[in-house]
Amino acid sequence: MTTHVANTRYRDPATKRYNRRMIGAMLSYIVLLFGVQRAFDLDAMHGPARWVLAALPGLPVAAVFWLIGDMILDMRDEYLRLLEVRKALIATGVSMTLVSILGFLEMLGGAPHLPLFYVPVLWFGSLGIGQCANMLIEQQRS
Amino acid sequence: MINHLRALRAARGWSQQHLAELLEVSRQSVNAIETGRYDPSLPLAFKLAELFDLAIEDVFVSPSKEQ
Repeated sequence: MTTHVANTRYRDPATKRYNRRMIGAMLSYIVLLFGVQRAFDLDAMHGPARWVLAALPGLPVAAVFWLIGDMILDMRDEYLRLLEVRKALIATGVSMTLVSILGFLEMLGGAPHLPLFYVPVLWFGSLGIGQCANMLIEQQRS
Repeated sequence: MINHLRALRAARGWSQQHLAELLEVSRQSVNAIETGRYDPSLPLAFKLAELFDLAIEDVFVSPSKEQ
């Protein structure tokens, strides 16, 4: 989920800020994920209290999407910003295509159910495809 | 968009890295503009032209005038 900057000297302040915040979000995710499971017996709980506790680890994941958007808006280098936007759009297209097909496979093809938690995981993985696409597109144009 | 950036930069003996530092962008951006892979925004195009002490049309070729 890190951004690619070919210029070794140039570090966009937005990218540096993103990397710093990202570490905080990931640490929060680990603490909440394991903390909630260790501190509470969720199986024995019912109702809104359980829902709130169960949703807590999702908040840092949501924060990551916000951080990516914030970084894109704040980037000074407009060309690198274009690459980041294209990468995110490709990741969105790839992950939405995969979950759409998987949804129909589940509904009509008897495929096993994939927990929704894996959708953002798939999106983060698809960023790698977006990065590769960026490299190929830029190579073709040069 | 066709431009004369490479020739202008070479005439001043500037590297892409040096120009990137003057523009406060990445070297990757300078390379993308030079090779026509990326058309800069108006503010960046003005900044480029001002760095070379030229008008924008002396740096970038209008698409309507491209051969």
